[in-house]
Amino acid sequence: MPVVDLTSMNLPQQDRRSTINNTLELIRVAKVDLCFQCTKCTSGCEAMKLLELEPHKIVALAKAGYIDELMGNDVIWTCMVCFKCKERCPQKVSPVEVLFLIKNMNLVEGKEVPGEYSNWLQTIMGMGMIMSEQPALTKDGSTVERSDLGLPPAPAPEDMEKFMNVVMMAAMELMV
Amino acid sequence: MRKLALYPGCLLSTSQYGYEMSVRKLMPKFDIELVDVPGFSCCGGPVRHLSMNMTYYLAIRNLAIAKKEGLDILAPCNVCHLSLTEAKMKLFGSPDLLEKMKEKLMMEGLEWDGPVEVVHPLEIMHENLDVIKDNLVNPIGKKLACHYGCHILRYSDLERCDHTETPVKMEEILRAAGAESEPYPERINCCGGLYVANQRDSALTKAGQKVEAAQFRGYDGLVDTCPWGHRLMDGQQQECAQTIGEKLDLPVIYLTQVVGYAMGLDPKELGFDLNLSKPLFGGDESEEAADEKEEVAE
Ligand code: SF4
Ligand code: SF4
Repeated sequence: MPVVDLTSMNLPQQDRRSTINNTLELIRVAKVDLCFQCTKCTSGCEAMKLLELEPHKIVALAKAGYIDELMGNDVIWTCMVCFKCKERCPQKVSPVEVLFLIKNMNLVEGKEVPGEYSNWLQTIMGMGMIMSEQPALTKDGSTVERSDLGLPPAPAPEDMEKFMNVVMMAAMELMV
Repeated sequence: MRKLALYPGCLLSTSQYGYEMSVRKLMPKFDIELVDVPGFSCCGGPVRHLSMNMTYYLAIRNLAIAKKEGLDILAPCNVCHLSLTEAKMKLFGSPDLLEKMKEKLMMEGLEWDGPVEVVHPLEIMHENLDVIKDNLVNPIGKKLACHYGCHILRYSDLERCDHTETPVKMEEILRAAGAESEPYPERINCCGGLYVANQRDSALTKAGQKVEAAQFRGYDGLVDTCPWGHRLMDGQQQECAQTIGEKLDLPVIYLTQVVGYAMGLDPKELGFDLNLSKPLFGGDESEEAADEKEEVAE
């Protein structure tokens, strides 16, 4: 996993920093400026224990405006979305949502997204869910389909084309 | 009888059929009629990393579809339950964002007619502890560990299903079903379920550590409520074991399956065959003896 040096000597990007703060305001989350670096978020972070994600540093860099550096760093993709940082922050800051917004900027700017994410996105736009219906394995090693189990067909959007257009539009725009 | 729209989300629809079967069988025992509503899509929860805007849209369109039928939603998947609840609350608190979402809904021919309630099977079971106790056919008689899953506990600015740090409902439900269940330190840890997209080894490590903790503490099985954790801890338990370099052999089972069994429902119809980890019932005996027992039960 490539990890970019986060101690950059570049100038901070104040416009991107404002975008993040304005979006946080729109979705009623405290701005990154309120973080006082207590590190409580990091001490409970599930990804810190495994992959050295340190949410307080993410927030510190966002607060200072080093957004490009964060966007180019694979560590932003190691959050496992446990929401402990958001739950426990004494300042109501939300490192997990700051991370989402930084990754969202990556998608909007056409940067590569890792792993299965682009597959999931395409499958949502093509059939409504992140993956297609799979046969399930049983304990004795045979496979069964939904219909074999007496389950009704899985739901899907009724007008797939309209659905796809709206979802695509939503994915490719920032909230502010 | 209360009617609820069953919102299966991605995993129940496409692979975790055992959970869906057990939910469908069990809910009528609590006077709930489940309705299948066409048109549902992904809740957006798995793709927040890509676009929170899209996540809100996906969630709100599902709420709008249920509202059109005049139904509240039963969301058995923890990730769906959070995503649907979150969109509802965030949009409620942000009129500007709601306006934008309404425009998008119109493009799909949908409209926003106010939020609906989003309910998790855990809540239904907990509201019906007496019903479980009064209809106990097979008291479980095992010592079971609970895995709550992050998204029904956090974050508590939204209405969540139980207390964020010290939840009690699963243990109380299991005790009502005749099992033994006490809190243990690792029970609110993350299972790594959402890592499967880009950090498969880490997902298996996290899930493996969850199973290991319950096994180490001497539990007979691990009970869960979320398909994201179940598909790893049950479905890929041996891969988890390899990844963490431990021997794992612990039954992992959905809460709805345990409660259904306790209330006398047919294990086959609860999807027991679709669990790939060691069976919770009959696992200590030889396979033949277990088969015989099943035949007698039938
Ligand atoms: S817990 Fe909150 S205030 Fe403390 S370092 Fe983390 S984000 Fe900043
Ligand atoms: S949500 Fe992500 S950043 Fe926050 S504590 Fe969990 S893993 Fe860490």
